[in-house]
Amino acid sequence: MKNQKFNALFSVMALAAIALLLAACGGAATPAPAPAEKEEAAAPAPAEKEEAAAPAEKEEAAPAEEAAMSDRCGDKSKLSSELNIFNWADYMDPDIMARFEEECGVKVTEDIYSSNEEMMAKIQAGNAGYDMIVPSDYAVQILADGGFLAEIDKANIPNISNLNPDNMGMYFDPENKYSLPFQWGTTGLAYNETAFPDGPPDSLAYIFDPEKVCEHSGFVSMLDDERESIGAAMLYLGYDFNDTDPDHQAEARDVLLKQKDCLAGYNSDNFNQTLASEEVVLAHAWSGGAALARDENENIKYLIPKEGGSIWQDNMAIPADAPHKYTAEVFMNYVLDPEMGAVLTNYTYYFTPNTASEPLLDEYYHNLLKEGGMMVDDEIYKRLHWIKRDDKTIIFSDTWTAVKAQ
Amino acid sequence: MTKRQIGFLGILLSPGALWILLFFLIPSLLIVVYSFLDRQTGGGVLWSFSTDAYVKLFTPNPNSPIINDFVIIFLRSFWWALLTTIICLILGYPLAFFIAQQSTAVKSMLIFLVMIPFWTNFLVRTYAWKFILNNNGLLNTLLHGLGLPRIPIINTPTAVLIGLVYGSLPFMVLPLYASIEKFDYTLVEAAQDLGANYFKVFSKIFLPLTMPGVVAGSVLVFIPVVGQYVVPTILGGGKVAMLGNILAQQFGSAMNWPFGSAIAVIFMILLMFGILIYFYFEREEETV
Amino acid sequence: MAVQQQVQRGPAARAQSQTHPPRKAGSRLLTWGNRLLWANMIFSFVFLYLPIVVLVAFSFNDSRLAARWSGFTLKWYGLMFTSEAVLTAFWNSLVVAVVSTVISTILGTMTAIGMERFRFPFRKTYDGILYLPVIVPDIVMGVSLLAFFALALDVINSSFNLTGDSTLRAGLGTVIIAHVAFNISFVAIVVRTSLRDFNKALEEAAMDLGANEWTTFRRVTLPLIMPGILGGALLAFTLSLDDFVITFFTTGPGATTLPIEVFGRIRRAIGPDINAISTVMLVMSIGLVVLSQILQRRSSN
Repeated sequence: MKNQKFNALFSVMALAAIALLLAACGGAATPAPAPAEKEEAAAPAPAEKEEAAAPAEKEEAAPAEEAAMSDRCGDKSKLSSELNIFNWADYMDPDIMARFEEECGVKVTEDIYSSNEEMMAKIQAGNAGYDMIVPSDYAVQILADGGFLAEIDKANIPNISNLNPDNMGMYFDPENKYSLPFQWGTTGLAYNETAFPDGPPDSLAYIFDPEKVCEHSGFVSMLDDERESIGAAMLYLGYDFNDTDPDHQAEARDVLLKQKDCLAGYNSDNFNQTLASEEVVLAHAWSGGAALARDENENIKYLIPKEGGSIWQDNMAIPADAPHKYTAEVFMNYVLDPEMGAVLTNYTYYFTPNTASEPLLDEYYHNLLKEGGMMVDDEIYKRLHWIKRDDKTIIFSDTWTAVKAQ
Repeated sequence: MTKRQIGFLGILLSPGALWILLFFLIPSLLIVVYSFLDRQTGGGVLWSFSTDAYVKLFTPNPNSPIINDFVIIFLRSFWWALLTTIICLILGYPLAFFIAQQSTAVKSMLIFLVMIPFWTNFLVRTYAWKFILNNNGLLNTLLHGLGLPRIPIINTPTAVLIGLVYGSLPFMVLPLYASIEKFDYTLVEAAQDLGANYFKVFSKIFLPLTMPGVVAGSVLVFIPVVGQYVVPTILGGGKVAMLGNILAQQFGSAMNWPFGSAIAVIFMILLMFGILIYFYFEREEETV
Repeated sequence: MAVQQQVQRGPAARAQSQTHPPRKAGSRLLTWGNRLLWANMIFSFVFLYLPIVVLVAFSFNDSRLAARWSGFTLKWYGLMFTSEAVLTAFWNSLVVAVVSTVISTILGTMTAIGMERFRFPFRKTYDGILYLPVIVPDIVMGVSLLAFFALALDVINSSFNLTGDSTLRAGLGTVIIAHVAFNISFVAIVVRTSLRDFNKALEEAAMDLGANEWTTFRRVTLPLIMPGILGGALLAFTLSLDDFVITFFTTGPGATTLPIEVFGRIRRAIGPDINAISTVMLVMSIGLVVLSQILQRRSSN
């Protein structure tokens, strides 16, 4: 009889063991994801030619014929067998990694993080083992200042010429010594057209004026992000987006507290879903999330309010202690290829810095973003602000704590 | 103790103790050290002594004598954790008792059935609750279908409490079960023979003898709840913070590691104090 | 078995009645009590399984948005089996959970026995230390272990001259070490509840009858504290399987676990493929528990 109790204990392990077996079988039966799905994106040949012409400036020891055959793989003899990248979730089409493996024989392993700070903590601790990371603007600056990034050898990345000069030479890396643009986006307001019959909510008053917010009480959400939400309050008050003046911060706090009672809540994780399922009708939102919501519900539109919004850019960089630096550079070059650039952006729904890839983008993507109001023109661009961090901006955290304490 | 016993004790304790010392105690001391250092703008610490973190933690708000935002959040976290613990006890104690009454085979099956939902990712389960409690979620659809008014429950403290109890219930049931299971029912019979009524049997015999389970369960529920940050964000709409949210913020977006460490140190001291008080009274009882 | 049977005839045979508590002592009050117990049990299980039912239902939902029902599909199950990231993460999670549960259950039970059965100097202090891993918030433990492992691996790599691809790095090994570090305490706490007020007469009787310490432990003590050990192991397995924060800070390249995968995905949508893999795991767990019950019934008949 006592043995039955042992059985119970062993069944935990047996259970796990069988689960493991099943998982293993599943794994073994898995073929590499077929690239067929996105094949049409590869169709237009002219761009390929353009790109083939680009590597003229390439100084490589590889024999010319091999270079022509596999110029997307760099010098194959110098490639490592594996490459470890550390990236945001759902931010790299698995197709790109599978095709790189097929073409160049490098096994790409992707691990994911959900905030810059998490990623920075691991990179700063050292010996993390990653070859490529995707830090946002301010994170590039912090990592570069701390000496945690390797200088990129641009000779290995001829596809740099595909990049839009507007996305290069930003404040966080003026000479692009350490980083190359990956994707970028904006922060504004996403709304459900049917809830605003009198016209779009084109002002921050729709989220901060208590009267206007409470018209949709319980159906408005703000980003759960101290810099974005307080920054928006600053713009509403007519101050600078990065204002650290204690009096202005106190005003911003009061604006946020007054708005709070009529909010559904703060949500920066899945506002795309709450918008699409009409749990909220107005959301302080990132452009990519708004596009995802529109993908599911075509009543969702997006705009940058007249007071302004913010802009951000994620970038590819190589940690200073990366084990496979050359391979990482070749992979960056691969990602910056016009064809791959299009595959990437069709997948993420953000904006691409890769000018050469623009003609290859899906029509669906274009229409989604154009009709959804996500596209950025020169007039809108002027209203966008970068989030900057320095020693004083810690006050944003304290203001945010005060908002969340009540 | 004989030499043999000492040797035996050494074999029993040293592997666990070494593991905890090496992979827990030493790293944890680092956090105490961090709390007395200067913050680095990009996260991490500067190796210069500073009490800034503690000064900040104990500086009251401008228009209040003692209270500051952190005290409010501490108090709220403790209050919610207390409520969660009580509700879990009310649900968990009879459940553990019921399970312990069954035959050996049924018992272990039921205990497994209590745990199995928790092998599904916590975040996934919490989102499932969101779909149930949403304005147009399952519960409200059901109420609407029955001709009853919808109740706004998502993004309220009630929703948070439901999520907290849900996430903690098995951690109450397991230790309770372990201590009720070995309860000697002949004691109840003996007491009844001596004329004790049910209330007396429960309060004088059953409860005291299963107290170790009650305490262990309460500890395993209370402490993780204080540090929760997922449930308030998803079910509470992120409107009010608990201690866990503030810790995540300080080590995350605020990039103020010394301050986060200081909050953690104070939190640990408070809890340690509570546990030591319990030990003190418990040992007194044991010697009686 | 011999010892056990003798014990049953021994002075404390009464304790054996625990598996079948006397219900004959019933009265109206007790029947009422029983009804309440049943009601509470049913309510608790509905409460525990309600979100699980929702999750299983949505794993068959045609829409990528989990919030709306738009038709039945099995496509997520297909997707799940071709998604290398999800399968690898699932596999990693199971390896970590199983290995760390086995190690921490053994060490935790040993610790519990040592703490309960012996009086020694600094016992109270150690008692307090044992509670620390329960008290320390996840993120604090994660950040401190990150710094610790970075330093430790650095020392190891430089003293053994490991460079290039042979460099020792964080990975599943460090995750397991970290999980054991917090799980020992959880196991010890639960096991101790079953050692407390333990009827020592049984052990003494066995010793009187000539059983040595090891036999007594194996035949008498261990079976009696088994519910506690089982509870501790279940707790450890559950905590390990679900841990995100500590795992994130202690893991390395290629060693992503399911919680990390799930947390990373909330920005976009926790896809129905995650629901699908959760369902598969759920069905397997319940199936195995039921199966082990059937096997046990058969073997006892």
